[in-house]
Amino acid sequence: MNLIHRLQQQMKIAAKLLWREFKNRELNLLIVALLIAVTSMSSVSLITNRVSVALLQQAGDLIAADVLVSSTEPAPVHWLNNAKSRSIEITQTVQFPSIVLSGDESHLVSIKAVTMGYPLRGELKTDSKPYTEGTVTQSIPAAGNVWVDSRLFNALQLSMGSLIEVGAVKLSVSRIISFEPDFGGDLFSAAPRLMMNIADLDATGLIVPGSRVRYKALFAAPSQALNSFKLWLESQLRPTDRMQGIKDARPELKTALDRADRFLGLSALVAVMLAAIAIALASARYARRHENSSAIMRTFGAKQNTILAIFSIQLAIIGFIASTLGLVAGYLVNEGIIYYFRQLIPHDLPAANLFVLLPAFFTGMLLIFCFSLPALARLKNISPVQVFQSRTTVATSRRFIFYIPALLIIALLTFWQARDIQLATYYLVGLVATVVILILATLLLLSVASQFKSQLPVSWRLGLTYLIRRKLNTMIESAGFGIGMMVIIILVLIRTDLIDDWLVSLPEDTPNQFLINIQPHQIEKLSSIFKATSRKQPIFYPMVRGRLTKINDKVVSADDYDDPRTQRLATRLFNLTWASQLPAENEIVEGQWWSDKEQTSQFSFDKALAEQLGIKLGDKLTYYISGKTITAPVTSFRTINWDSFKPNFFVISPAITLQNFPATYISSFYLNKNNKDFLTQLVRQFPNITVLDVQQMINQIRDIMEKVSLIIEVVFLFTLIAGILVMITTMQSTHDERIRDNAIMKTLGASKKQLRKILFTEFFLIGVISSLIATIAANITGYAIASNLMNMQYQVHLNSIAASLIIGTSIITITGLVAFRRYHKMPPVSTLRQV
Amino acid sequence: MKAILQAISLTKMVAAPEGKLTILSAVNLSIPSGSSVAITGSSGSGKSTLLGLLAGLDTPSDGKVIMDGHDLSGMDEDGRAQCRAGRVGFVFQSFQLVHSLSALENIMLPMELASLANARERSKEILSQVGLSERGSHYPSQLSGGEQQRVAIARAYALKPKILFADEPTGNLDQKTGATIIDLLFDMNKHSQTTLVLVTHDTSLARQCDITYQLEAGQLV
Repeated sequence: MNLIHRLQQQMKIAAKLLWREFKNRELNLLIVALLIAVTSMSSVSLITNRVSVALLQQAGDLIAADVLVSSTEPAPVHWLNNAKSRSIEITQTVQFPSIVLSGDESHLVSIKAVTMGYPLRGELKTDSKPYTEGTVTQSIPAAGNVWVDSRLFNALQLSMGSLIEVGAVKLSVSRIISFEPDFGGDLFSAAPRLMMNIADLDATGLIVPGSRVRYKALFAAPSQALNSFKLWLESQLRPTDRMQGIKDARPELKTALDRADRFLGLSALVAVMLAAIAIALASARYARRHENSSAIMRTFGAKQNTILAIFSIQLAIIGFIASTLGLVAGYLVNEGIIYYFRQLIPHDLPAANLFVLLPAFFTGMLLIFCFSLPALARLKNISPVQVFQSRTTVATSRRFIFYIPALLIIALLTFWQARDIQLATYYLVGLVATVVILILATLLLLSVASQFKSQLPVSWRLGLTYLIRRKLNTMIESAGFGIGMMVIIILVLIRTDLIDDWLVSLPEDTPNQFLINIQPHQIEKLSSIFKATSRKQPIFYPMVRGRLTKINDKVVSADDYDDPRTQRLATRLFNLTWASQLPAENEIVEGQWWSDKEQTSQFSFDKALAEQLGIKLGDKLTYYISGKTITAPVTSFRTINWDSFKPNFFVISPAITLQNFPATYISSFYLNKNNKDFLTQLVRQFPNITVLDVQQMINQIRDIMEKVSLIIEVVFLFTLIAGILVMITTMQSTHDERIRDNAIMKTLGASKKQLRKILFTEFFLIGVISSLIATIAANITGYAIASNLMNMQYQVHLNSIAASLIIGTSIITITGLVAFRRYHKMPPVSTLRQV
Repeated sequence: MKAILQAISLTKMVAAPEGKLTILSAVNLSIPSGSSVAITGSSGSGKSTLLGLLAGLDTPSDGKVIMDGHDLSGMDEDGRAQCRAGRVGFVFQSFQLVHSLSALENIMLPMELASLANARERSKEILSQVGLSERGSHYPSQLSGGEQQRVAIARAYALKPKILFADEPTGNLDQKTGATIIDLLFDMNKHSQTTLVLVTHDTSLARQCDITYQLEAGQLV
């Protein structure tokens, strides 16, 4: 008989058996485990892919031009003339932070003043209502008007026509920005946006020498004209200029996205691994249940390969259905997360590229086959003579060879997600170490508990006995659930308790307001205002902005460094200052500080930054400041306590080095929250001074952190669910034993209530054990973060610990009681007949 | 009459804590085609082991089994399965129906495995022969012991086997039901001219067979 016909018959038998299993809900756990794995992977893949495609597709939009030159100085006129002569489109923007006022309310914003023609690429969309898609506009704010984003519109409770004080002028709100093409470069910008016409800029009085301003010249043209212009422009660039084209738009974003992709992918992988364990356990149970029918089929003359084919077909069907459902669920999760983040990502992200889902789908199919392989091998080798015997005569497939595909899959998935051998290795080692620690802790707790067994009431004693007798199962359940719970507790701890504790640990009068862009001539008047209002005199620190151009005559280039972060640090603008005394929050760790009347130019550098940039004591540094250069040696290294919230600088020099350069001043002071009107007055009297409300910034950053941590928590929620599945499938493996034990106890007179109580105590105890271990592990991690990363004393929050224990224990107890609720209801006679 | 089944010096030993345990020792028998044969003996005498070896479900430690001219001892597991396919039917003490399949589907199963056409129609016919034509859609859990055994008998005869092996077919049934089953078994056997090999400890049942072999401590007496 031909192969196809045989295969058709096998498929028929497989489908028929499988359909009955579906109806009896025996496959629920297997399907749900696979669903979790595929949902976890596909949701993460979709989100990261959509954001990354948006970056690539909208690269031109990201800079709103074909070529952009960004600088701390305005573009020279001859650039603009040259561009015009080549018929290249030009527009310019001026961007800077400032405080704006509306009535008594103030807010830090990022202001962008634009010229006609903005944007040259991409679309600017506006509306008269906040949080809408908006309509494309070809114009810019008219003189006298401003356009604000939805965040600012709500924060200042504005309406159309409201007046906003921008420096020395009042401008009218005429539109709400729905979409700003080059905002995508600041994907998680803390400050809301305000757009104005460049014609109003001078009147604001906000731009003064030394202001933190970014000037951008935008160019667009067909590629032939543009290429020759670019070549010419490159030869004209000053040290403060940075040119970007479409291909290198916001490289730091690409790096951040790659890191996020890897991090989220590896996080999702924990759920996949736990789900794989649940698949292995569920398929082992499935195989056990079909040993007899396999043996019967063998008596009819079915060959081993026929048995293998029938069950492989079943696995393929299960895999296909569950993986497809997982993709659908993953798509929905991704849509939900994107919707939640819409305020932070005002872009319309491109539609999901469904090909991105293929790896998740194939992973699902591979998981079910690789992790069911030992069970399948067992069925294939079933001896037909088993039909005469009550126990299996097949050696269970403990042969290591059957586990190799499963281990290979895990290793391959890890390396694929990590894209780095070292990272993958650390990840696997860390995961294994965590599991081992959880298992050992479980054994320890069981051992301790068993000492008190005899003193417990009977139901507690029996519940504990089951846990101790089924030690392997208990360890798997505890570790499976514990991993997911531990990570979620850590995440919640970080974004709530740790940040709160850090804030509380700060002294009461820690400065909470920063003043920047103070002009030298304003210091005296400012000081007198503070004196007049009986406030502590703030210290004013001079600040000069310069770019590091050479280290020991070698030109500094981003290419000198591998790490993208160091590349940015090397080529960014530095805030330099001068001082005669070593600031209080600084400590010299190498070299020597200078005397009060020092006459030799030199620099004192932050030790950590120097190490990153490869700067050694004695190295000569050259800075480009306002069109001039200054070279001086590094004579000391410092460590800085940044928690003081006083202005601190990576680079300090004696006055002789920098005092001849144009400088602004910065300061910080403490403002009681009831004295906000002092702030308003300050801003009105000194419109060029930017006031940074630290508390407001912390709140904004915290808001972003909470949103970002939500994605991570959603991913680890899958881990928690997978951990629960491992727990349930492990318990299911003792299904027959439980039923028989229950039946026997019923025949001995145990009531349903007593049986329910024994079940309750078993799940309650495993819940307490795994939650306790997870909570302790999470708090130890929290301690490590607090002391090593945040340099603060770790506070133990009993209410958080209690909440973790209660929630974790409740989840396991309720899940167990619901999953096994039928057991104590079955009449003993039918139960004993069944087994 | 030509022998359809022969055992030649059949021996079976298994590993035990105290060393090798001999279940069967040099058993020789010949079963003519179309006959009914009873293998009797007390519990633990090796009856089921002998049945398993004769049916090719297990391999002997020594000796050989010739089934319908084929020497099973030289074959591997799949070879013996191929030999069984279409040639051999089984009826077990514990019925051994597939619980997730209905009565009709249980009967269809061997025909589907053999890729026979008209499995459903043939199964309905056999089901009515055992008097259960109204119960085809019922599952084993919905059938009594006697009904389950009737389905098992119908399944055993589905492929018109040359040899039917029955291992204590009435062992889990009450006397009255058991008698009905035995009548059915012999009836169908006569109707299909199958060779019946019956393992039983019931001597009155054994007397109904053409030939009786008695097994004691692994040896024919």
